[in-house]
Amino acid sequence: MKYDAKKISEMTETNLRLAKMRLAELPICCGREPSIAGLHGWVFEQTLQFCIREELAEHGLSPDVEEQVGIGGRAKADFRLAHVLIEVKTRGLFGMADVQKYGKYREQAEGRGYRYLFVTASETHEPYRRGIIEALGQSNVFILAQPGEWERLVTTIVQELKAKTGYCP
Amino acid sequence: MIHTKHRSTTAMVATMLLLPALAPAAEPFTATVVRVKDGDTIVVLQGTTQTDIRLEGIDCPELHQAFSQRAKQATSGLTQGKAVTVLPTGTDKYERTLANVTLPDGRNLNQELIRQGWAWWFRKYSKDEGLAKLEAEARAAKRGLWADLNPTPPWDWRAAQKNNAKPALGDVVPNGLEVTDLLPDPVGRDEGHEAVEIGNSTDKSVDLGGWKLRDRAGNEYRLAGTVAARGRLRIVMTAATMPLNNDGDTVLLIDPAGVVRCRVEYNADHVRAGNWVEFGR
Repeated sequence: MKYDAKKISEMTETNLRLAKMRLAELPICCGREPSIAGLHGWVFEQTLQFCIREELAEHGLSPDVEEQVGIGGRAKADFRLAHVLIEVKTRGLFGMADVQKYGKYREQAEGRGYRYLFVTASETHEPYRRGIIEALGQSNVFILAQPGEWERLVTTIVQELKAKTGYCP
Repeated sequence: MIHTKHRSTTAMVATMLLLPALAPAAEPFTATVVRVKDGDTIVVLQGTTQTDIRLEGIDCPELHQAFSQRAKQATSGLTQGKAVTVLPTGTDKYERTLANVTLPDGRNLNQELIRQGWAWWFRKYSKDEGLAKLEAEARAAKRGLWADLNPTPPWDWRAAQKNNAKPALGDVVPNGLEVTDLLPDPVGRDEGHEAVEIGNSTDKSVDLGGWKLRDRAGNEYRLAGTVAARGRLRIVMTAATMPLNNDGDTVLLIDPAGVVRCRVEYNADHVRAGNWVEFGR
C-alpha cells in the first residue's frame, strides 16, 4: 500500500494549511485566514479520493470519478469511482439520526446499482460505530483509525471494480 | 449554531469565500461571570452589560439529562464570580456569543470541561482536534460523564426531545433481557417509589452494571444489581432521573455498549394506581 491512515491524516493537515493560506491570499480575504466549517471535511474528502486513486493506479485501475453524486431526492454521496459510491466523514457521525440517514442512502444507492461505502477517519462513540455497522453492514463501513482498515477499503474497491461486468480500466 | 455542512463543492467554496473570511474578528474582553446557566453557557458582566456566552466547540448534558447538574457544578466551580477573558468566535442561532473562555489561572475553560469529562467535543460544529483528543483521553480515563460507558450525546438527547416519540436509537436487538413490568403509578407518592422489573430468559445471570433505561423524553435511569438466570429483578427507582409518565411512555432497556435490548410502550389506559403494567412476556 502506498498510503495508510497516518499518512492520510498528515496529508490532510498539510493540505488544510495550504488551503487556508491560499484562500487568505485572495484579495477579498485581506490576508486573514478563513475559519470555515466544512473546509476540513472537504480537504479530507479530496485527500482520501486522491489516495484511493493512487492506490487503484497500482492495480492498473483508473475509474471515472464524479463528485456529489445524486442518488435520489436530496441524497448525495461524496464521490463515485465507476459504480462505487463513497460517503466520507472526517470524525464520524454527528448523531444517531445519521445512522438512519446513511442506511436509507445505502438502500437508494444499491437500488440504482451502486456499491455504497462509508469511510470515516475515526468514530469514538461506540453506539455510533455499532449503529452504522448494523445499518450498512460491516463490509461497507471503514473506520481508518482502526488497524488494517485502509487496506480493507482499497481491497474492497479493487475487488468491486474488477468484479463488475463490463468495467474496463 | 450557525454552521451547516455543505454538500455541494461549489456552494461550499462560495461560502468559504464570501462569509467567514470577511467577518471582522471580535476582540477579546475581560468580564466577570455572574451566572452559570448550564455546563456550557455562562453569563458575564462587563461594565453594565450582561452577555450570554455559549462555550465554543463543546456540548454539556442538557437539563434533566444525566450528569447535567455535575457539569453545571463544574462550570460554576471554575468560573462563578471570577474575572475571565472571553474570546468571541461568532454567534449561534439563539444570538448567544460563541466564545473561548480563559480562566484567571490561564486555563481554557472549554478545554478544561472536556478534560474533566463534563462536556462532549461538539464534533458537528468544531474541527478542533485538540478538543477531540481531550475527549478521547477523558473517555479512556472514565472521567466525569464517561463513568457511564455509553452516555447519550446531548445532541441525540435534544433530537429525542424534539421528536418526542421515538428515542434516537437504532433497532431493538433482543438478547434475553427484557423489561417485564413497570410501576408508573405507585400508591401514594410517585417519586422514589416507581419501579421496574427486568426479566432474564437466558441461562446466565446478568450484572446490570452499565445498563440503563431511557424514556421517550430521553431521560435516563442507571440500573444496578444482578438478574439471576431465568429470573427477574425488581428495582425501585429511587433516583428521580427518569419519571415514568402516568399518561404513557416508551421505555428502552439499553446495554453497556449502547445497544437497545428491549423497548416497551404503555399508555394512560394501562396505568392504574398501585398496579404494575405487564408486558406479557
